[in-house]
Amino acid sequence: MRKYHKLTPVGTGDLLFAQCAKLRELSGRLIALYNQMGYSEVQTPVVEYYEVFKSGDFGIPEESMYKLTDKHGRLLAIRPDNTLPIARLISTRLQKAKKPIRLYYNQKIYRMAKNKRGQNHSSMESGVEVIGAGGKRADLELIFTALEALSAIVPDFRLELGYADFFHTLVEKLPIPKEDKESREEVRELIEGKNYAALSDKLKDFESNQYTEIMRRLPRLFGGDEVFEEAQRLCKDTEIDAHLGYLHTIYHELVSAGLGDKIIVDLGMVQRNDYYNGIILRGYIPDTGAIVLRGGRYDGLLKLFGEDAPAIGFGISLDEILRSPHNNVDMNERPVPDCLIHADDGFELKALKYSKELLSGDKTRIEYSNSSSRSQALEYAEELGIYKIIFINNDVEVIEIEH
Amino acid sequence: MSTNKPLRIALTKGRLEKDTVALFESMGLDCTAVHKKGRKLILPIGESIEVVLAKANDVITYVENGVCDLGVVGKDTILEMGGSFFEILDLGFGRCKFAVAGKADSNFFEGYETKVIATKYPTVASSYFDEKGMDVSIIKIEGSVELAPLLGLAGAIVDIVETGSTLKANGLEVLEDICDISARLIVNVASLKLRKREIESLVDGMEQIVKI
Repeated sequence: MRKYHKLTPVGTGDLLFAQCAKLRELSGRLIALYNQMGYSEVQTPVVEYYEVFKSGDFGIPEESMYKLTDKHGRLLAIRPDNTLPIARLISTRLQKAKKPIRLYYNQKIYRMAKNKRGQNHSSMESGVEVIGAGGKRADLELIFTALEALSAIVPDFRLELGYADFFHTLVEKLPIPKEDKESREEVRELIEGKNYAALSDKLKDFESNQYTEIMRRLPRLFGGDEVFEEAQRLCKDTEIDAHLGYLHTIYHELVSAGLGDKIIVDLGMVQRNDYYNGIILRGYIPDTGAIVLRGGRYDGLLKLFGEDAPAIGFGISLDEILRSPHNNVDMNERPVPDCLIHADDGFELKALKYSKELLSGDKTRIEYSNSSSRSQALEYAEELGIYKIIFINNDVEVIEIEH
Repeated sequence: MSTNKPLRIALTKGRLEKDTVALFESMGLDCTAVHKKGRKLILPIGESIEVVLAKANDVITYVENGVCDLGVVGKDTILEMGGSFFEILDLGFGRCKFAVAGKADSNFFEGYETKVIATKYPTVASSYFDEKGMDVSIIKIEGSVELAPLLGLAGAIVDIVETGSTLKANGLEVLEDICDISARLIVNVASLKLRKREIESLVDGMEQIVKI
């Protein structure tokens, strides 16, 4: 018995009319920006070999991937991420290309969410990657591009900066034995979840020093300039200081350039399985509760595909932006043509040719009538709220309709 | 971000709601609207907070989706439901624990057969036994889980244990503790960043009372 033939899989859905238009408009604005800023488009396949997404320690959680097999029994995955396929692409077809390479993509990713709490399993992601450029110059370019991209599509937002190696170094220095991976993972999870209380308890298991002290404060170390002051006061270590100093410089330069009102800092920004090592980025918009932009520097990732080059990028989830209240897309809105063109019997092709002539160079939207008589065509136009109808026979008669 | 909207906090209806309201009152916030709530589900507290009364699972759903900025919910619900949000404060009340319980003097962990566990918390139960490397079959029960071993449906249960008196009255006892539970304050990921000052001042106020 057929049971699912009228449904779309959990977490997916059809987009109609106004939603499609809005999504195209958002994509269009971003693509125009990326092109202007010297990025070029790439598209990668919707299905890839599963191993692309299971590289080293960085994989995508396997339970979140849609998996299938090819005819040789090899495991495939529906693209759950855009950066890993691009890393594959860079290390193969673009291996010999002159660096830096600036790429952009505008394509969907698919990930299964465990819970039935309204999460989308598919998301249109629009983003850029800069490959073969490291250091402050490239970091500032990417942050600036992210600010420009969000400004192009939302009225208000915040871009948050973090530094992945700051946390990595700090964990290394904690008095947790190297082999105690479980404790390290636990500490990471508690910081990621900003679980102040449990983190404090967990750190009591270890001898207290400046590293445990800053770790204990880490979930609270987010905001503006004051974050750096506190961190530097809590921990005096040249390696940690170097990471902090770098992020502070970036922050300071952004503030000096008048971009500070959009920027926040979170030293406790950490992610599971993340391939980031330097600057990390997150974008937020009011009233959605979701993260709309994610990105960062991932200098070690390309090595896993046999290419060693610094890289940095970000992706914007257009689905999350579409869901935000300020977009207010009316689901029920069906576009109404400006004009209905109706042919008397035997004049169908004349009508079609005429509508094409009428359209050349014009933005008018014309619908070709499928009604079998003039009165039916009139009725149809009235029902849909079309203001103009053109009857075609030997003559051309234009009738305005009042609603 | 310029916003004059009140902070919206979802409370788990029942005991956690009462304990949280008591906490707000000891912070000097005006909670009369909650005491006189009638059938209303959204109520003002003080001048800048709005309370939403919801079932435990829904508190997580509302916070995760950003329609509420904060929530008060038991660790039991967090462990069972999961989700992405910040868990920033242990409120200290609603204390109990998750435990494996079975018939007193039963040799639940012995023998070769696959063990059967009855529980209201299948996620908590399966992740606990996964970690032990033990294959178990889990049966979800909605009501009094203690019945399952008595009726012979399951060898043991995974459930919340507070005093242990219900277990005792039914000839059951705790075989293993899983973890401690208490009420937690959770925050939406974006809200914490966009409304940092308001949320931090509320959290600091709550923390000061909780610590006493």
